[in-house]
Amino acid sequence: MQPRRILVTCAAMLLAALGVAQAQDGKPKDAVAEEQAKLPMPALELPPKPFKTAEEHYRYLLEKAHGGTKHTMSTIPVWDGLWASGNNTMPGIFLVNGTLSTAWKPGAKVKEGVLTPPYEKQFRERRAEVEKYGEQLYDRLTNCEYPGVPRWLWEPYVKEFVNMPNQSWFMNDMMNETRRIYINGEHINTEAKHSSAGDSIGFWDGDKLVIWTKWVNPADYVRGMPLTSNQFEMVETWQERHNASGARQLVTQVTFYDPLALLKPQSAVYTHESRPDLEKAGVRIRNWECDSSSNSYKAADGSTQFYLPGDPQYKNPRGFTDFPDLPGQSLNPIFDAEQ
Amino acid sequence: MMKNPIVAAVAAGSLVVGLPAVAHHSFASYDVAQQKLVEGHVTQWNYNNPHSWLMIEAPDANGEMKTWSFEGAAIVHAARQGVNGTTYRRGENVRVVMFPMRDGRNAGALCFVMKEDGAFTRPNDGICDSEAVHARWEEKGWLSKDAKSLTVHPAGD
Repeated sequence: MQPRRILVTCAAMLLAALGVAQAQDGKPKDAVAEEQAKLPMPALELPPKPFKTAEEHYRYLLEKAHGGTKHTMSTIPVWDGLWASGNNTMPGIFLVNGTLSTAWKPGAKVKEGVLTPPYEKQFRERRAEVEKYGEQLYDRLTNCEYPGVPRWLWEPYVKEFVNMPNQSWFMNDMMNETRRIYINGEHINTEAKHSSAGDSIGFWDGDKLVIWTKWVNPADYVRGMPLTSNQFEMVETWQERHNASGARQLVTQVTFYDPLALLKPQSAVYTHESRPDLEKAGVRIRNWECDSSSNSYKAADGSTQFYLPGDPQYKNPRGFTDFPDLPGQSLNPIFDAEQ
Repeated sequence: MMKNPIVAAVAAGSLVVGLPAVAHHSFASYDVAQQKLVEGHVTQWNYNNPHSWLMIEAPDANGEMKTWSFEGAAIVHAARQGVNGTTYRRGENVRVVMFPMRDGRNAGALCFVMKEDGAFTRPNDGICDSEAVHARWEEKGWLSKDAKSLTVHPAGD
């Protein structure tokens, strides 16, 4: 066995053991933002100098890396296993003393001089709703809309990262949303349109993956946070590290560029935590069934409501068949068989 | 003073719970200021994304058997809390503690579920700190054998 593989195997065994400990304490690690806000947080690293555009930023880093490291399958960083989003500093960009713990709650004060006037106005309206009702009444994801970026960086579901010399695939179980990063390429948009995850290109600088994303649909940073415009772009630097307790952590230093929404570019650091406990619990990423199983919708008064069994619009989360009398057409055979 | 009782209740509830949820939708349609016990038999356990749903048959306030629907966590969050696709089986008796819907329909947001053998299970999403709520219900004796289905208790003292 190669020394690297032995090291990886030993690390995996250690992490599996740690995972048991994590799972046995019974506390939700990522069910609530308050728990995430307690997770270890590396320092924010600002860009080496101010840049006006994401392209300027990306090209500077590419030149500094002498065109980037050309990895092979045997040298490329392996970020295997399941991961879940951890802590991040994004709320601090938009809220006074903002953290993940305060971002969703009433009582947080909007920072001035960050957003352009129309986007600050909209953000204040959103925060007023949080103040009035305890949370934002309706989230665009309710109708199974994609999180998109920058929200992808935070969504607290399970993720997988696959690095190859020519592409990296960042997969979120939520909405089956996969980001594809084309290594050492240029942006291409033959469809001439924006998309939820945009178009991402990148290069490796040693064990750091630098990404530039553009052509992103308007979205938001997360529920309760500001909107982004269709001019939003971001430059990310991803690197695997180990946190203070020795656990694997993916650290993302990101700078957001959005001339229609931000008065100047803003930076934040996000983390993803390795989750061997989820692997031990048997979690595997399946197809996200939102379209066929979600019964939440936006009511006429702007609030979130649910269709329930008996409502004509109700969708059976266990699925529907046009051929109920034909043997073997149930979409729920395991549950049915175990009765 | 808040004039709108719904607004006041939501605000009070948010103070009581104080836990931001991670769901793909707002939880504002649930009344987090009160917790309700419903006892019945499982008809469906939908271990699904973006949310799992537990359906049971139980009497309503008029004693008529109805379908009750309870929303829980996404698979990854439920799994972390020890719940999987076979945790609840059709026909088994369960006692559900949940945040009821504000509009009074037979539904709510799951907090915790007691199985027939007394096992405490946590299919809940971030709307509920199920361990703390369960401990409180145990401490208050609200889960005794005599506890009646459809009993409601305030979320805070």
